[in-house]
Amino acid sequence: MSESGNVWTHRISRRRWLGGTAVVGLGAVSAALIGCGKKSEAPVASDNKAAAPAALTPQAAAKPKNGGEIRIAVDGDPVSYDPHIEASYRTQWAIGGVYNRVLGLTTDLKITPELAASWETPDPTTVVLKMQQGVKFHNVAPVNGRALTAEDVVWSINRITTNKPEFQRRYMFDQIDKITATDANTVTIKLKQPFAPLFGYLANPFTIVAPKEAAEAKGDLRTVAIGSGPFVFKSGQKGVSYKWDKNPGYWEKEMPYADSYTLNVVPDAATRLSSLRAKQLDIEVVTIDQANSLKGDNNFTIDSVAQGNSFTIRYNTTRAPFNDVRVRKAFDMVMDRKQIAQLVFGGAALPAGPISPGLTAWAMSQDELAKNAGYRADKAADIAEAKKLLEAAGQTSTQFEYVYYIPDIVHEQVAQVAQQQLEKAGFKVKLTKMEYAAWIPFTLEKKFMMTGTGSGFRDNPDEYLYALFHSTSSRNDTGYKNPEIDKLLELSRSQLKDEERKATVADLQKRLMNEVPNSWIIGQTLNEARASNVKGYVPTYTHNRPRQFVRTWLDK
Amino acid sequence: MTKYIARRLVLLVPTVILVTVIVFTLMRAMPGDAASLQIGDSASRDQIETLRAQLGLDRPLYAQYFVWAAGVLTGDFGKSHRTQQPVIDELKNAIPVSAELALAGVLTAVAVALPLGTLAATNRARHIDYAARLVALAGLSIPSFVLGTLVVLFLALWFGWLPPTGYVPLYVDPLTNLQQFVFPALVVGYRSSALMTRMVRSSLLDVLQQDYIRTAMSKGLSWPTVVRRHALRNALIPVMTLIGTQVGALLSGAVVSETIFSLPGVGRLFIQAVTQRDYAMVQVVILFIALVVSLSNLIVDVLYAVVDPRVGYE
Repeated sequence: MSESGNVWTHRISRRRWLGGTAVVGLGAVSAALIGCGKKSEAPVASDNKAAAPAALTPQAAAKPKNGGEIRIAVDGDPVSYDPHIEASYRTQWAIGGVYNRVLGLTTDLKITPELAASWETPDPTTVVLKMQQGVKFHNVAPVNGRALTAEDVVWSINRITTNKPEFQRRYMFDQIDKITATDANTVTIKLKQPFAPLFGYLANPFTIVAPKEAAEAKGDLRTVAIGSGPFVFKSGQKGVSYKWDKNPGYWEKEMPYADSYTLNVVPDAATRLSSLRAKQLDIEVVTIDQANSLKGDNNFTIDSVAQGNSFTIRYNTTRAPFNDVRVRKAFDMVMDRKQIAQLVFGGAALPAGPISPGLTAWAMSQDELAKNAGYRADKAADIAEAKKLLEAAGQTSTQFEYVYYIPDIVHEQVAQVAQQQLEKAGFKVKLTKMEYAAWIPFTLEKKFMMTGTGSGFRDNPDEYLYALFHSTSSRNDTGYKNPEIDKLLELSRSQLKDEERKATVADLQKRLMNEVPNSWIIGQTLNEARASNVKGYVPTYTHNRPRQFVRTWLDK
Repeated sequence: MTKYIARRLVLLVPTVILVTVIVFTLMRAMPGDAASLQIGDSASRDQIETLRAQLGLDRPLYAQYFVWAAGVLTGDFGKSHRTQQPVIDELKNAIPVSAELALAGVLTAVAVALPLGTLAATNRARHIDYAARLVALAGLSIPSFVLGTLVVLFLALWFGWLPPTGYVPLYVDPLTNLQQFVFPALVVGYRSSALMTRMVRSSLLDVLQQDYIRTAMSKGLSWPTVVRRHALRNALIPVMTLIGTQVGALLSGAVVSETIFSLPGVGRLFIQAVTQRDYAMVQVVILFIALVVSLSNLIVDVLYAVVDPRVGYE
């Protein structure tokens, strides 16, 4: 997540933030008016520069209209509604509009006030959050519309850190020494040590504030969703649909504009597109091919947004042959990322470094990346150098095994293209596919040689770097250990000034690219099609979609 | 007959137990389990082991099976490892969807196959026979996912309309329910009708060669009467077997059609449970499928005796 604006060293209030966005908003509206009348086109990333992180279709300013139902689709049911346990976008799409989180994220991943209206850091290990006044939970038993207080924030963050395996994100707050509700509207967080990623984690889409009594009444939050968000849960039928009604007492005045919001469960991608064409859906995530098939149809607007995720090939650095950095580098250099982006993702992807290109504030720019071996336009030079490295490592006759998991077809396609590229360079690569359920223990037990995987949405550089490459991290699947990198990772966590932290993160990325515990392949782009009468909706990263519906209105 | 039915029902018990034991063992033999899937690839080995213990997956296989079987005997089919909800509730919701699809699909198939197969057999080697065989061959050759997707695309592109997604029970809103089931039933029914048409045709051709048909004709009966009263009734015995297996298979879930038409039936529930290693859910669905298949076979066997007086079970 972008933490630009230096949230640690500046006091930020909601009023100040709104003032800032008003200026940006006026600019956007002016740009939108200038852009009016342009035919909408799918902004397909055909090369590095064409694919900006967010290539959005301008929308003309108009007075929002109230009413109507926003209908979207999802490919499967959320396993449960519990925001502190689940990690899937399906859960987020189901409950994202029900709850609020402590801090918010803009569509371009900047931290904004949400339930916390302002915050200050009196010293490097203390954070004081001042909560919004007048925020109430939904008027549903057993909460019955009571006011949301600082105690609810404390309870929710403590619940996220519950020491049970299913609470997967307790690492986000493991540097908190103590969190207390100083008064009804103030939360004080005492840290064990300065911890720069804290604000990013407070704005994580799953750092959701829920009422304690709802969890107590049902035992947990798996089957209940009562929050303070713009939509109130109405009904849910597994395999069919989930419905929400407008929260009449929502604290952001005059919003939401729509009367209701429905999430239809439609497993088949072709059926989802057909439903959009048949006007049964208003907004839908589409593949690049589907986006192209809608091109020129004035009934739809198509946008493309870089996501905070990436596709990588992990090397097992704990045993031969990939414990030799020369072998890892040789493989990395052979990969033709632009070809993979084109062949597998239809061009809707960008070559990636250690941090996904979707996190523009932290990721290496495409120009910087292009200077590195493996990213250069001259693949012949890369391949020649790679062959020399493999020969020097004495691995020219080794049979390498590349493991990937199904049923996600993308993993299979990336593996096949990578295999062709590597074999063209003379490397012998055998592909092995596994079911995802089998792949998890296989990877955890480090039985793999090299394996392809996609990261889910990550909005914080800490999740790309510390979590994956610190020698003590439980999520370090490659087994990579480097005391120098460890020190830098720890330093990056303690640097509260953005400029200093950015410099460390940039240094870390360069070093990691030289060490190649992973080959970072591409960062994906999300393509979204929406009916032309859907207004006020700004495409965003996957987990943030339902939050956009608060400002979405239907021009009927 | 009563004794026969009672004997078959008694035999059904070990059959079902055997099926559940095999599936129980196979599911556990597959690499990966509910615990690792629940907390994903970002968890540590210790965390997965803790969750396995929490879910009771660290116990010996036989102990896990007996716990499950004891629960079934007391009406407790267990909770989903993933959602922590009783699995029987989810199955109860899925059964009416698959039952309605199966019934509609088989009725469509029979409505198409009987006249088409009869026409083909009675007009052997004529244009109508070739046409009927071509229709049947296409039904067998076109996979359901292709046909289903084509239907959906055709409706969306030509009419800008699609059946409402999801499931509304017939008694709640008959019109919406009809819209939801017409096209999936046609897709499912077409494939089944292809099989049945071929069966009706070949079976009827066999019967039409029999002496008693010649006798009936020589008695001066009209050709339609001979076909209807003497040939078709005898030709239907193998067709009934096919109808029985089709009903059993479709009740167990027409996964592809349920997926394309977004119907929350047994097939989708089962596939989801397998991929998520949701053991309790897999077991209850398998139990249901084993019962349905066994009972549908029993019903077909009983119906043999009803249709053909020569068949006796005493």
